[in-house]
Amino acid sequence: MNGSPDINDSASTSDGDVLDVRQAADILDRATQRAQRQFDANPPLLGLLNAVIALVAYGAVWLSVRGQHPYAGLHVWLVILLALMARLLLALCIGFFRRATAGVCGWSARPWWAEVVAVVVVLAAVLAFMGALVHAGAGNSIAYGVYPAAVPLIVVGGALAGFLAARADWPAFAAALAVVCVGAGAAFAGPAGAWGVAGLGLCLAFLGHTAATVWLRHPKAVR
Amino acid sequence: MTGEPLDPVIHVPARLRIVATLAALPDGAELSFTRLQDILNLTPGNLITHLRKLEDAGYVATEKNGNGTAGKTTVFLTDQGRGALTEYTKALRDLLGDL
Repeated sequence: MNGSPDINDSASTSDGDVLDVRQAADILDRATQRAQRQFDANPPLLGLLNAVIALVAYGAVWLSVRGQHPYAGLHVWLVILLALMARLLLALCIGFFRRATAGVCGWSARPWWAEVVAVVVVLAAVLAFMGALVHAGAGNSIAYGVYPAAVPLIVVGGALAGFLAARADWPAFAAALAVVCVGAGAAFAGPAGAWGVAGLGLCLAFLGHTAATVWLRHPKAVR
Repeated sequence: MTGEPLDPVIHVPARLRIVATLAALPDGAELSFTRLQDILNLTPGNLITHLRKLEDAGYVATEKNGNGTAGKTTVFLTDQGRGALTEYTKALRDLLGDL
């Protein structure tokens, strides 16, 4: 209590600096949080963008098909809009991924690419199966309604849930399971309603995951 | 006072930031020297000096891939370095609890 520095309270760093314990804790917390943000391939901003894109894309489809009796399917301009939004989403994901992994190498970075390839192959198979449904004479309400609205969510969500469980990323795993549930629920909403349920459900799943990520991520390293 | 004295190798602002940054990488991943420099906003000479001290203590390891200008140096935290950071963090918590 005589004002002299305690050996454990502050320490000469041999580099000319004297670092107080509180300063050290602050530096450690800030450096840890900054690094976590730098290496985060799925930041909250991307989650919010995903939610908006899902709501707009699926919502546009729902608005265009909800008055169809009998159900005819999507207009060509809507297919083009969806393709553009998918491209935008892909570009955003790749951009955030590249930013997070720039300069990062080592074996643990490789499974990310294997997961991307697996999801692309799964999506291609889902589309091929849709073609098979049309070829087999399935009606528009199935081939262009319930199937494309619900099945990609179930299949891709299930594949992602597997990858995320292997990485022990439990908030994202829960979001992937929620997407599977949204797809299963959408399948019961009819050919037009399936798009609305899928859009709203996806948006809520993304928002829920983003909220959970913000809540759980960046814990203080020291305090 | 309780707990261990703070590790003098880590207990320097720049080296603390280096170790904390490398610890945030996924297990087994390495970070390029240039990206580490960008994140920490240190000059190359300053970063090299601190990395050398951490390397001498066995806390980080560097690898040089390729030759000449195309060569890339990567840095990663060793198991010993990860353990040292864990101990350092624990010691900080103990000291903060005592204050």
